[in-house]
Amino acid sequence: MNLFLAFTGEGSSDTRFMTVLTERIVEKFLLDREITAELSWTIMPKKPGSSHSNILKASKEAKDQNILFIHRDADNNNWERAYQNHFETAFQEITNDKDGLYNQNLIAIIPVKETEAWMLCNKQILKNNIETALSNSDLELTYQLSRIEQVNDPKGKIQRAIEIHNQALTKKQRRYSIKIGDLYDLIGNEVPLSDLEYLDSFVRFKNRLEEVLNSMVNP
Amino acid sequence: MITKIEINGFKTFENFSMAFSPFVIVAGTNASGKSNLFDTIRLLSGLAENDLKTAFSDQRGSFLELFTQYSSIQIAPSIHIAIELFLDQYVRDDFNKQEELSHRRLRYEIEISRKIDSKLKIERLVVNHESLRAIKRGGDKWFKEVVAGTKWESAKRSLNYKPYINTEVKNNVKVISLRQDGIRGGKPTPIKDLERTVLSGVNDASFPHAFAVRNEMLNWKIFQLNPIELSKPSPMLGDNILDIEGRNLAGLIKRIQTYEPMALRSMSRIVHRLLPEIKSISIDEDQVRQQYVLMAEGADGRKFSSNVLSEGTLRIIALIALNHDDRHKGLICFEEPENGIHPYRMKKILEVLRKLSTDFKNENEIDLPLRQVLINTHSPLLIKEIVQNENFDSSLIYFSRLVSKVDATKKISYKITRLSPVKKDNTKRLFLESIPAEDSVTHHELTEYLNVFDNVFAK
Repeated sequence: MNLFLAFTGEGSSDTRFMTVLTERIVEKFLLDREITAELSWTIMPKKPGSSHSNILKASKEAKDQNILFIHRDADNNNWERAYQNHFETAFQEITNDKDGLYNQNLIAIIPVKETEAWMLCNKQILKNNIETALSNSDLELTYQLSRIEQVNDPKGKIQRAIEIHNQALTKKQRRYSIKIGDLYDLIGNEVPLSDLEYLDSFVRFKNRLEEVLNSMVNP
Repeated sequence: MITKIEINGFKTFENFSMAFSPFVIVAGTNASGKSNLFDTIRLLSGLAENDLKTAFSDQRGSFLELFTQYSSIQIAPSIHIAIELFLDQYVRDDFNKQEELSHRRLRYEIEISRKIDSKLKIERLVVNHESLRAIKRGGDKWFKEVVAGTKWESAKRSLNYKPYINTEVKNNVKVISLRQDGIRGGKPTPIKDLERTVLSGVNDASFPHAFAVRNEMLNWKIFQLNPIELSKPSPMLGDNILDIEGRNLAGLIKRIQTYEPMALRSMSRIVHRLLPEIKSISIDEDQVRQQYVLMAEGADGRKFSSNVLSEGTLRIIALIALNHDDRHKGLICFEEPENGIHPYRMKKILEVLRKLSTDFKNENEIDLPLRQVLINTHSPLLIKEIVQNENFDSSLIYFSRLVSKVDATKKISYKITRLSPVKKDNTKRLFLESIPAEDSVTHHELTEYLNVFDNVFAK
C-alpha cells in the first residue's frame, strides 16, 4: 500500500513539527493493524489569499494525494470558532463537489492556541532538547498538562525557557545556544502521543485522521 | 552501458529498480539517497576488481552499515544487486586478444551475505549467489526502444542462452560455474565461504562475455574533481589518464595532443566558447622538473599556469579533455556538477557533460566506445536547463526521496529511497515508455519540492 500525504500549513516551523508528528500517528495506526505501507509527503507552499481560497486551491492541487492536511493555529482557545471561521465553508464546498475536482480526504489541524502548545506537553522532552539541567520552575514551565490549551503564549513560553537557559550558559558555551527553530522536528519526533491526548485539539485531529485512515483500509 | 539496476538490502534500497539512459539525472534534496546510488556503482566496480572485504572497505561507512538497517538491531541479512548492460561489440584484453560478443545485452547478479566465522567469532562477507546471462531479445524492451533498427544492432548473434556464470546445487554442494562462451562448462567453484566474485577473476578475453562485463565495471568512475589536483602539473612519466580526483589533467591533454594534434585546437575552441576570457589552452614542458604544465592564454594575450585558474574553469577544461580522450569509455558519475559553476554557465557545462554520453540518434558515434553519464543534483536551475534543452530529450530525470516504509512483518518503520521518473512538461516522450505513468512526477512538481524542501527543512 502506498500512502501519498500532502501538507499545507502556516509556516515552515509548523510544517516540520506537524509532518513528523502526523507520520508517527499514521505509522502507529498501520502497525497496530499489521498493514505494510510506504508513506511519501508532498509539502505544498502556502499561497497568498484567504484561508477559504487557499483550502480550495490546495485541495485541487492535491487531488491525486490520498490525504491533505491543512494546518492553521486557532490563535484563541476556541477550536470550534477557528474551524467555523477558516475551514467549514471551504470543506462543505469540497464535500458537495460532484465533479471530482478536489481531494475529499481533508484533515484540519487546528492546535489551540498554536503549534507550540503541543510542544509543551512533555516538559522533560522539551528540556532534553534544549539540553538544559535547569528545573521546570527555573525555566518558568509551571503549568498543568491538562491546562496547556489555556496557556496564553505557548511560543513565548518556549522562547522564555530557552532564554533562561541561554543566560545560564558560560560565555564559551553561548556559541552552542539553541533557537526555537531548532526544536520543531526534534520534539515532533519525540513527544509521546499519550501526553498529547490531554489536548482536546490534538484528540480532534487524531480522531479525524484515524477515521480517514479507517475508511481507506476498510473501504 | 548500464540499462537497469535492481538493489535490495544495500543502504536505503529495498526492492529498488531503476532504468538507465545514456545520460541520467537524479535530483533530490540532501540525504535523499542520491549518493547511495553512486555507492552501489562504486561497490559493483570494486567487486569486479577486488575481494569482498576490500570492495566493502572502499565504501562510505563500516561494512555492517552498508546492509539496510531497519532498526538498531534489525539489519538486512544480504545485499542483492542485479545490473543489466549493453556492451561494446568487441572486447580486447591486455594481451591484445580481441573477441566479438555474440550477446551485447547481459544481466549480472550478485548476492552477498554475512557469515559468522566460527573460529574467530567475527562476521565475514561471503558470496551467496552470482550469475551472468544474456538477455533474450523477445522481452527486451530497452533493446527494442533504443537499439533495434540502428547501427548499434550488431550482426553477430547467438541463440545460445546458457549462462556465462551460474550458481547451482551439484551433489548437495552449492557451486558457481564460469562457462567459456558456448564451448564447454568451466570448473565449478564451491561457493562455501567464497570471499570474492568469480567475475573478478576473469582476466582475459578467453571468457569474452564475462571479461567484457568485468571490463565495463572497471570503467565506471565516480568523479570528485578536486581543484588542487586539477591544477597540479603532471609528471612526464606518470599516468596520462584523468583519475577520479582530477590528477594528470596536463598529462592527459599532452597525450591527446600527441596522438591527434588537431584535438588541442578543438579543445581550445570549446574552452573559448564556454569561457570567452580564455583564448586557448596549451601544455608547457618543464624539462627541469620533468613535468607537464597546463597553460591558459587570456583574451589579452597573457599566459597563466593552471595554478591560478579557478575551480570552475579547471572543471570545464577537465570535462572537455575527457570528451576528446579516445580511451575514455564507460560510465562517469558526477555529484552536483553545478558546484563551483556560475549559474550563467550551467547550460554550457551541461552541453559538455551531454557529449560525454552516447547519442544513439547520431550514427557518427557508431565507432566510438559506449559512454554514459550519471549526475546527481539538488539544483532546480540545472533541472530546468535539462528539461528545456532538446538535446536532453532522450535523457532520464529521476526525483529521489526518502519515504517511510511501515513494515508490519518487522513491526517497525524505516526510511527507504524511492525514485520517480520526471515527466517533461512539454510531453516529449520518456526514453523508456515502460515506466508506469502513475509513478512519475512533473518537472514543476520536482522543482517545487526542491524549493519548498529547502525553505522548510534546510533550517
